[in-house]
This record gives sequence, structure tokens and C-alpha cells, in this order.
Amino acid sequence: MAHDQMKILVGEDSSIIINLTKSVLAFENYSLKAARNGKQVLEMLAEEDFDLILMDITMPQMDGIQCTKEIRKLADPKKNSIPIIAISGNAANHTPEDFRKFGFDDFIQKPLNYDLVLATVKKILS
Amino acid sequence: MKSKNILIVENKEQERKLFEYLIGQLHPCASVDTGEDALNYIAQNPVRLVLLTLHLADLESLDFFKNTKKLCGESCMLVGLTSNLQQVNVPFYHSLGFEEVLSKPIRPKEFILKIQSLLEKQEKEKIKNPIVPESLPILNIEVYQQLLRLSTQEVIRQVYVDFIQECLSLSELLIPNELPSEEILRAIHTIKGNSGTLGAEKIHVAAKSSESAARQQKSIDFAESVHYLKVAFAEFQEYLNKYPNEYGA
Repeated sequence: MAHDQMKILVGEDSSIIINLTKSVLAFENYSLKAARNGKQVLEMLAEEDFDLILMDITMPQMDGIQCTKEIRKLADPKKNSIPIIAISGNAANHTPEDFRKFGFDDFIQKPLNYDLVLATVKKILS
Repeated sequence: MKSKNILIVENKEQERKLFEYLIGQLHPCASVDTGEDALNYIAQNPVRLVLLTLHLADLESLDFFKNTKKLCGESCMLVGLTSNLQQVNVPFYHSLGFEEVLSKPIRPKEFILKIQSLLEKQEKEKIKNPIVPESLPILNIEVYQQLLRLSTQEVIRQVYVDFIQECLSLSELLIPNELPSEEILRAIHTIKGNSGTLGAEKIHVAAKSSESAARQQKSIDFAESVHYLKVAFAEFQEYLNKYPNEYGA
């Protein structure tokens, strides 16, 4: 826990995963805010700076892929270069190359293994 | 009332009525006289056995047979009927997924026994190869312990309680003989992911099977999976109640 408290935004429509992720990341001294769909992710990112986004692919209104494409088009270089980790329940439908093309920095497959989630977050933020 | 999940596809009216009468003694059945009607029926109803004449006028047989198997799901049995058994390439039909090819004209008593034995065989297969194996743990303790290591017992306990509430809400919306709406399918997908993350293994396997059957429009497979899913929900709820403090203790 040597890092200053870093701010993570999670785009996820399941309150169960939000609560669990919040608790696990808080245990490691990260602060986490949650958006329930891609549109909300964009709104929250417009108002606040984050160090990382955990983005579920399957979300109502605007999915994680579309939202990531929108983020990469933002004018603010700090916002458009934010690291984004995809979380996908259908990762078999996409190759790692696909995720990179969509604009993600990394991806984690569901069901989530929180040791892997933490390791990936630490790797990206290091 | 039992649903009509045996379908007779026969274009000759007299024969169709005879099959209806004979099979009707065993099980409620539906009948149609064209391949197109058969596909429509199968697309909208869970069908466990299709009895069909191999010589349908309105559709290319091969496409029809392939579509039938695709729509019905792997657990559905296809039984062919032909008046030219000598000239029919039976191994070819087996390779398409036909369980049997029977000769017409049929002998009623033999025919009934044959259909009955096929249905019994199907039941036994289901028991032998359940969608959710009994040996799977209700909760994977390793996953639970991993979560405990990364959070607090209070939080994890609450997550499991919220999860089962979410499952029970979904359970009320699931109708076994009806393919789910897109919204319900999304809820099944969420339960599939969450159950895997939380180590609720039986729920995870049943949700995965339900989602897959629904996406492929396999109504009878969906109905079976939903049955297992509801049982898995009930078992998980019972499990949480049994271990009020620490799971698996």
C-alpha cells in the first residue's frame, strides 16, 4: 500500500460486483466510484479525474466498447489517455488484439478472480 | 397438464391421425403436415421428440432435418418414418442425428413400445448426464476464502445475501416453457458472471447452460436448464441459512 490513494472508476451494471470490487480495492487503499452504464461513465469522467477505469463490456444504454471508443475521442489528453481495463463475460468472442483495437489497455475475463483483478490494476498503475 | 412436446410431421392425413391416436395414449402430442409448420412449431414450443416422415414435399429434406436438430437442441430425439426402408440410407440419417428410422406401415403395438422405450431412454440419459452434476459444490470454498482474504467477512456475507436475492428475483421471471426476453436473458448473463465470481458453482453451470440454450433458441434445453437453475437457487439459499456465520464452517 505504498501508493497515494488512486481513484478508480468502474463501469458495471451489477451492484453485487460494484460492492465487491469497491470493498476489495478499498482494502488495498484504492478509492472507487461506480457508473451503471457507458453514458454515466462519460458523465463522471467529464466531471472528475480518475487514474483508471474498469469497464464491463456488457452494459445497458451504452456498452463498454462504445464507451471506450468515445473516451479515446475526447479532446482532453489526460482524459483520452486514461488506462482502461475491459471486463468481459464473453471474452471468448474477442481476441486480446480486438480489445487493444477497441482502445483497452488490458482485459480481464469474468468470472472475476480478484487476485488477478488486483494484479492487473497494480500492473497498469505502476 | 403435460405440454405437447412430441411433434408428428406427416403429410398423409390418415397416417397422421393414426400416429396421433397411438402416441396420444402415451403422451400429449401435436401434429402438422408440412415441414414449414413443423419448424414454426419447434421454434415456439419445447419439443423432446419429433416423429417425421422422410419424404416431405415442401422443403429440402436435408436442410429441414438439420434445422430441426438445431432448433430442438441435442436432447431432442428425431425419429424418421419411411415406406421405403430398403432404399433409405439409414446410417446417413443416423449421422444427421436421427435416433431411429422406422418402416411404414407400422404395427401399432410395436410402434407404441418403440416410442415408449425411446422416451424412457431419453429420461435415463438425462439422469445419467445431468446439466448440473450432483458432485459440484454449492459454494466453492476456495473462492470464498480468497474473497475473505481480500475483504471483510461482513461485506462478503452481505454480497452473498444480495446475490441470492438477485437470483430469487430472476427466478420469479423465468418460465420454463418460454424462451426469455432480451431483458431476462441479460439478467441470466449477469447471474452467470456473478455466480462464477462468488464461487456459486451449481448456479454458475446452470446459468451458463440456460444462457447458451436461450441464445441458440433451443427451447427444450432452456426448459431443462431453467429447472436446474431454480433448484440451484433454492440449494444456495438453504446453504446460506445453514451457515449463518462462516460458510462451510
